[in-house]
Amino acid sequence: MANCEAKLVVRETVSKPAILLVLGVVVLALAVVFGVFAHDDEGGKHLAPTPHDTEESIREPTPSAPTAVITEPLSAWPALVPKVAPELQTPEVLPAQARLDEATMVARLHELAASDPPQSLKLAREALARFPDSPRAPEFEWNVVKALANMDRYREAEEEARGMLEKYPDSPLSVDVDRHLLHRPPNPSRVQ
Amino acid sequence: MSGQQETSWANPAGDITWYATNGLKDPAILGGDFLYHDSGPCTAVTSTTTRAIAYWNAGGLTMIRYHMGMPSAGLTCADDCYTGTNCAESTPDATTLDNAVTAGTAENTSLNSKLDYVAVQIGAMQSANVAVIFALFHEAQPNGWFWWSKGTGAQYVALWKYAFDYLTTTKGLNNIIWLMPYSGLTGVSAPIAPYFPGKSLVDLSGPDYSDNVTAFDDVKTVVGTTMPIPLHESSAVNPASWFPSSPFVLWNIWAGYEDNAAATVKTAMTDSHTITRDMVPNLK
Repeated sequence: MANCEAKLVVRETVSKPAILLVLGVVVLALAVVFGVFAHDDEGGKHLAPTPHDTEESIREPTPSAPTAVITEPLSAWPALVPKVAPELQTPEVLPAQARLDEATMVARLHELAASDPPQSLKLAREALARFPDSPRAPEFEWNVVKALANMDRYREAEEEARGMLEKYPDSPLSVDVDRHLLHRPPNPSRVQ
Repeated sequence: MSGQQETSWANPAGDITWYATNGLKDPAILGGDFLYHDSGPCTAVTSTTTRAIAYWNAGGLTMIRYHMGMPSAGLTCADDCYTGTNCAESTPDATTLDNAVTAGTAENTSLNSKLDYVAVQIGAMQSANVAVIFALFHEAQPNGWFWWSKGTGAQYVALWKYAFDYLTTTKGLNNIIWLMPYSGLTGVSAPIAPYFPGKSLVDLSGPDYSDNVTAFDDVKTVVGTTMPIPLHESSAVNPASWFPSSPFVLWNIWAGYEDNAAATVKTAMTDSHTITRDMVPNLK
């Protein structure tokens, strides 16, 4: 009721040019927001994690539960989409087309390569959670392991690699993580 | 040609003697790794190099890779490591790869010192009239495991060109057969073509581990039909299945895997396509 009264007051007391002015400011503000994120995308290719990419800020599932459902899916091509209030980024309100399909997630992981391990980790975990039975599931798991290793989180990477070997013992990707993380050559300092 | 990587860090002779122990001929190629330098200074000839020369003198070939530690301020071959800070598996920051090939930077000084160490080893081989297949910066792929292939293709190529020029022009080495070593897992990353330095800087190029026609063709698509394609690192191999669709020119069983995959290695070594050390022509 109080809200309705407030709207009435606005209609009665604010002139039309003033409303247009306010709308103009809002449009301008939105343009600035979009511009900022477009700029972020241009500078998004970096090899070292930026401060906002820290482990704490990702809030990912623990390695012991790699396939746990992620309740906050990545929006489509996140670097290109302006970030909105967190409460709007829920599966219930996100339009269906905002969730990446499997092929697009694969392409995005390829594009990211080693440039942004936290983003790769988040994307690979989501792919694994959404497509656990896909033929590409070992590839998603491999990307999880790689992203952790690329962030020097080797203990977690090794744990994930062990789980991968159990789940996909015959996959060449499991062999790959095994020889790079679980049965790798020792450092010279350990043998000399 | 058959090949066997030695376990450079422990009982390196054990991998080759395994063949005789199991009633097999010696492989044509002995693989080694410059990561292990016997605790000596970077100017000393290592036992890896000594064994490589000895294998050549016994009628074989030698193929060396180098798990080079990531170049960083003040680091030399003495600091090389596989895993940890500034090791082979480390992830470079935004400037490392570009700085490594830029004169005057700390990373470039570090890279030069590691290449100087390489030049000592390969120089010793050159003095002994030994040619070496050098698989530098191996397992190349986008999002690779090692620092040299965690950047862009252009950065990898710049690094390869730099090392090629440094070792051939600056150091005057002329006994290197340049093997550009791709990862065999090409399907899990972006296209590998941008990582190829070009035919003028490469003699051989091929994948690892995947001894199948898909991996063969993935590289053939990049390097064309005139360059021999090796399987530069492998576990089990089945050369009988390679012909005529994927005629890998050589394989190299990884250290210790010969025993794990004993049955297939024994079959491979006695396959009619296989060249063993006694069949290598005199190259001296």
